Amino acid sequence: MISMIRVDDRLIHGQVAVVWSRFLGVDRIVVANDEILENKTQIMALKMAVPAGIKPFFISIEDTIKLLSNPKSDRFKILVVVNKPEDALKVLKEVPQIPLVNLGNYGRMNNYQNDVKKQQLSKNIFVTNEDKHVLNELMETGVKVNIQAVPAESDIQLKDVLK
Amino acid sequence: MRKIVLASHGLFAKGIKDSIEMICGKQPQIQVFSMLREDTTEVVYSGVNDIIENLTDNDVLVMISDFPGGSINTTLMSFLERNENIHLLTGLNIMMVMELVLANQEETIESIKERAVMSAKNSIRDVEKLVETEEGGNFYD
Repeated sequence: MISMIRVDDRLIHGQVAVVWSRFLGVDRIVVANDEILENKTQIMALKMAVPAGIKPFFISIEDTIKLLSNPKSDRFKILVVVNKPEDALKVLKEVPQIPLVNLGNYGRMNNYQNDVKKQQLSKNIFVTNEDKHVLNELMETGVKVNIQAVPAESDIQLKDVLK
Repeated sequence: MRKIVLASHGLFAKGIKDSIEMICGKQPQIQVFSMLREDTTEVVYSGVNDIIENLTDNDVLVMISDFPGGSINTTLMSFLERNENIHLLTGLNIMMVMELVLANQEETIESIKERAVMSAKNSIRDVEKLVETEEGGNFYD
């Protein structure tokens, strides 16, 4: 069972590995990312953040879809982590039974894209026009999308801030 | 309610609270006592004493001192005999506090303390010597 998809530039870090995983009570974290697979050092660094009792996996988007579609995965509580909304959309299109897409930290680095300043949706979320298209498409699938860095903060519904 | 006191020589305790809030969000249940050069342990003693005098029967207080054998820890030890809802850990570090902050309300304090100490110890590592124990682990195991 998939608890949520987290969108976070930094993939696994303290907020994700310790705070959310404890809050959701997950036993698996799947980092779905095509670029990170070649970078063993980064994978090692991210693995260090994960507390005992939770197994982290680093796999491609395609393999993530296969894994999540396998009925054998139903008995696990899984947190899926991606670093951009496109990847969340790719997963969601093939795996519809996901209750929540959570935007944690996104787009603060490189705040200018082709000299156009990104739009700030919240303290930690900055989007380009392309991102907005993807986010709209995400919401059109019917999934709930919120903005919330950690559970202790109140959550913002994306539909209320995305104009 | 579960209350937490962090106490240290210098600004360490204050800094840890700041770090924890950066990662986990606001934590009003944490109070810090950073003993400065011009202070004596009296600052810590009287501050914690006030907190303890205002505890209700449902409150649990977990104090964490910076290191064993320091005068902060010695000062806090004197509170342990006051009542059984007062606890003291030492060796303050980020993971230790994070375990306390994130623990369920239902979990017993003994089990939370045990995990806090274990996580604190496990967070101290020589990164170069970290062995990859879960390389290629099976998702379904």
